Amino acid sequence: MKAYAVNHPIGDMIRGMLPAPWAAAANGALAVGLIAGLVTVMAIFLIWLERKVCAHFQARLGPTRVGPFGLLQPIADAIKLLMKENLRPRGVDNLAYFLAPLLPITGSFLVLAVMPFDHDLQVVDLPAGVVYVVAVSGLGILGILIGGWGSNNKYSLLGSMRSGAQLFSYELSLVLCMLLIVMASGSASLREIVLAQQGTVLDWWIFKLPVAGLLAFALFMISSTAELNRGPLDLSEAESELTGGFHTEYAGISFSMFFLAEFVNMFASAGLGATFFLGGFLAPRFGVPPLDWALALLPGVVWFFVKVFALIFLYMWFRWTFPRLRIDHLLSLEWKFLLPVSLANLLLAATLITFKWMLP
Amino acid sequence: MNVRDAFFYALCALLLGLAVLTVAAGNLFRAALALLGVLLCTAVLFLLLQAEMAALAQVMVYIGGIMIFVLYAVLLTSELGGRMPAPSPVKMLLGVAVAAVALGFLAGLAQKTGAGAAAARARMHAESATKESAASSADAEAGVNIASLKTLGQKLLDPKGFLIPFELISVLLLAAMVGAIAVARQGGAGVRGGSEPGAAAISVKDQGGAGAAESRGAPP
Repeated sequence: MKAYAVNHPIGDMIRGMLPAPWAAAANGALAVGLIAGLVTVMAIFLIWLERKVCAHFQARLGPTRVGPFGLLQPIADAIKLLMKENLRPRGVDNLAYFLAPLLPITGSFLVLAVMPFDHDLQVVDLPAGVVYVVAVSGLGILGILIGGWGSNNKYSLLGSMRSGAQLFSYELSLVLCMLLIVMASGSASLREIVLAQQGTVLDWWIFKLPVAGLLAFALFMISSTAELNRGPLDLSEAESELTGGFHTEYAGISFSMFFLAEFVNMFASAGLGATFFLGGFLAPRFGVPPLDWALALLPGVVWFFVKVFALIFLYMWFRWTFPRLRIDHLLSLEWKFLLPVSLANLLLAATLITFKWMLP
Repeated sequence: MNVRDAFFYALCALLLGLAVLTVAAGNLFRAALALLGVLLCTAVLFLLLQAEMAALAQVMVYIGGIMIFVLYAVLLTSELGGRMPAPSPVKMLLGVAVAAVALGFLAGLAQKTGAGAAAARARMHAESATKESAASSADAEAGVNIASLKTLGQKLLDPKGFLIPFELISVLLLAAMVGAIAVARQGGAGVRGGSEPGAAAISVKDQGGAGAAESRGAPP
């Protein structure tokens, strides 16, 4: 019998040291603490990675001075941001202005709670996990809208209105991609989705559904780039036209909350991509026994992070390669191209699944 | 009173406070934020009833969807710190009357369902005490999972379940969307689609009204 949803040797050890009523509380505290630690470390590391990747794309070196390879640079930046005064411009709406930065980070924090990092490394496995992900990711849009209005600034208001239109539009094709995966896996639990891809590399949903999987993956990457507010689709904060969009007026820790949320969101989104299309925490298998045996030596959590960072690199590659779109191009890309293609792809996938025209 | 009950009453107090704030707040944006809190509290109430799917749908549809549109509308229309005029006394009286009727109706319903649910609980207890027929245990299980994603999905697509209302609602939504587009296009339609009789009628109506700015762009 499983007393806890997630069993892990380390967790069992800590729970074993405490009397029964405290073990449950420790379980929750452990889970929240782990996710909070992951959020902080991941954000700091991703900021460093973004700067390095950007620099090398532009034939520069990026941060090199603080720590080896400049690894401590984001920590120095974080300290600088936290020491700054949390300014409150005149004429802002107090409640909205200080509530807004908390919402996006809450959303990404909550998404990580259902992320399956390994077989037994998941805070909670909801049967309706995909629905949960869609539900809590709405908090990010809310934060941007509230912050943009509360700042009492035209750039902020314009940025948040653009962002509302953009995020809402791209959510449609993103959700259709998720629906396709739920249909293929026969479950909406993220853990079950991963377990439905057991087997060789060809059993991952990206390859297993002949054309539909690859197309859905491409659609997922494009629409999640828009959802993440990242270039080339970062219209809500386009610095060349809006000086910073919805976070123009923010400084100090309020600004760093928006900034942090953006990077954690990227991690969460890449994690979802890996879970849906690349077999999540499963080690890749190629049907060659010695190679498979060697690859399976690494624990699942390592494979999860390898896949996630591959996708994150793809996001960064997009950002530093493509020029930014114009807002009307952006919206017609979604409504006139991505959405019809997603619908057609959903139909194609439904046909493939119904007739079992999948790779063996 | 155990912890669960205390939590329930605290949640209800918060919910009612926010609901009052929603109608009493002078600022439109504050009212929208209070409504957001009300919807969130309702989702937690669903969670207390172990209706996980209902709670998720509440958050997804109302907070992730409808509230964003409400906030969007507020962004487009409302001034920061602008206050709405208080409604007229007649409107207030009407509102109180409607609220009283709705409260009475809901209280009646709650009393009736409360009695029914108590009877069902007693029956289920009796059945689980005997624990013999497979049918009764399956029944109990269906009772527990009534609001899960799977059961809801199957009920929605079952011809004997809610298939027809489900499809009808999609037609209704389509009609609403077409209507919204028709309303939104009234200004631009006269300029572009002059050949259609319907569009021409709209453009004629527009000339006297709000379409003046639009018609400046294209010569008649």
